[in-house]
Amino acid sequence: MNGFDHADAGRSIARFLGLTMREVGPSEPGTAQLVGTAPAAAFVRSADGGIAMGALLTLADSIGGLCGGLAALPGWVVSTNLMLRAVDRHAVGPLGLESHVLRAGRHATVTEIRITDAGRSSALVATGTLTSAVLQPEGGPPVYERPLILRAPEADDGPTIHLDDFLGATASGPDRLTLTITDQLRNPWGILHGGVTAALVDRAGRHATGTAATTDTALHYLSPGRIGPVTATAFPYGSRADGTLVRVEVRDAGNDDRLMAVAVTTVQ
Amino acid sequence: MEVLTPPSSRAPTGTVWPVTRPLSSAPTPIFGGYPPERHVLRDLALESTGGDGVTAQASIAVDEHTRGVTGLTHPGALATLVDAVGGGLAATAARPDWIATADLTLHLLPRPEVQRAQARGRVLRKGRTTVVIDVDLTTETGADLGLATMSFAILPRREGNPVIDGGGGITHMTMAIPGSGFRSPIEFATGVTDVDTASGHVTLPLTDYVRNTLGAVQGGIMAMTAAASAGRALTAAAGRHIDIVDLQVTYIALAKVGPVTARATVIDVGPTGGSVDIQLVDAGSDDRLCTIVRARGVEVA
Repeated sequence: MNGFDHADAGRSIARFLGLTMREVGPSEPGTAQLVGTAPAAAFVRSADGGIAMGALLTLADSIGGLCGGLAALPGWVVSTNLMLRAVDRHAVGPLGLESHVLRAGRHATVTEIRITDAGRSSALVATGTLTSAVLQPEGGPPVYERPLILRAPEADDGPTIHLDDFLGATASGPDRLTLTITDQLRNPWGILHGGVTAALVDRAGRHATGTAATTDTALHYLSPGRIGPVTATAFPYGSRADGTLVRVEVRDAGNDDRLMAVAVTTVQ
Repeated sequence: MEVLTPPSSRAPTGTVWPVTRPLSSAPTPIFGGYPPERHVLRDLALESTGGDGVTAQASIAVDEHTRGVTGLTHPGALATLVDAVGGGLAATAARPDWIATADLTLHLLPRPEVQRAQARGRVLRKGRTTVVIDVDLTTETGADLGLATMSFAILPRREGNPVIDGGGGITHMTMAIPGSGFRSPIEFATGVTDVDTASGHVTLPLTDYVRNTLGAVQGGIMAMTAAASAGRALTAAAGRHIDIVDLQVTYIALAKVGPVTARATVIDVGPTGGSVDIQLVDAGSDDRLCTIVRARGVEVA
């Protein structure tokens, strides 16, 4: 049994982002293609007015992971490496998403992700690649009717809080953020959602450097966040014409400070 | 002496590069007969130290043949250094199983006139299915040069996979042998050839000089080919020289036949630099997609 047995479990992130995903093309073993949409709302924008890299990373992890999972059936996948580069984050919206399989092997899947701005003639917002390890989950993989359609869960009543407030991460030092793992931040497997880890990396890099935006992220997922609190510590590395390189480490403080993720980001 | 014109170098067009040179001693093999006497790892003068299974260090010589027009170290040379360190560490960590390179990221600071690039790698994670390595790059004086990561899929050992010595202890190995060292720019030495410079369309032949232990093009040299493609395309699009400083490399399949063909798509160009996507296919294997790369370049004053 896993969280996929409950229709709403682990879907708080999709609900918050308003993410709808739909499978296109043939449902054949070893391949998959998904398209999706999400609003380019004010609550996912960073201080410079562009869509926060954390939101883009979360969308990319969600659609790329689902795409890789469908290609890996009857196995399923866990994200291991997410690389995303923003092109122009100042989207009008809604955002259009597309993911397809570049490689589906016995041990890993690689999916490519494109995020575009439907409000600006599908101008490119970000492109990336998600590599995932193939697992044989206890209780089996999630069971989906194919072709798959996952509509955004209905949003809660009332105004939507900002992404930063949704995450709930607080500064615990000039270069560090701390986050409590609440139920709404978990994925269907019960661990911290990979997109949340990515959004925390985005925020930590900006927090440590006082910058407004992240333009590029290469993130390695090393171990799951199970207990918390989770800390993200940013180490500014050096400056270039296009911004500052920052290395970020994410650890599960409640699990012997286990290293959960390492990322290199470019902020400006 | 055969005379060829290098595709890209600091020297003026028409400079003559010798393509042969004497070798006066036997090579130092890593695995059996690998690498051969004439191999890019030898010309890079790769020196490595490892043995504890968790960390490793290596360095390469940097000279005018491994620098670009602004004096920065060719990102492909650094990617090859990272690949060598990361691959060695991962193979050791994965014993008795074998590994396949999944991805490589490289983020560089624009430091000109480096003499020797040093890499310190460590295993971040070794699980049942993956090994993740990170690598710090520094100059000969210890100044930060860049950050790199690599991840590897762990595969069941097959007959023919190299055997990694599990004897323990710190080992020091030097790839260079008498006669090693570039006599021409690294792109020229490896055989990178322009098809259409403005679009970043280049090719790379599969020769023993660039093979890895599995007989395919070495991962770092795939990254070098991508960087060559990216630099040409961005420079043409920007109308001024752009240095490649970031590579996000995803390996899809081995390039086993060749030639490798790289084509670039410029994504954006702005006042500080630009972004470009590159696809590398194995032309001799029905244009099979082997590697995709996202690259970022900046203008260096």
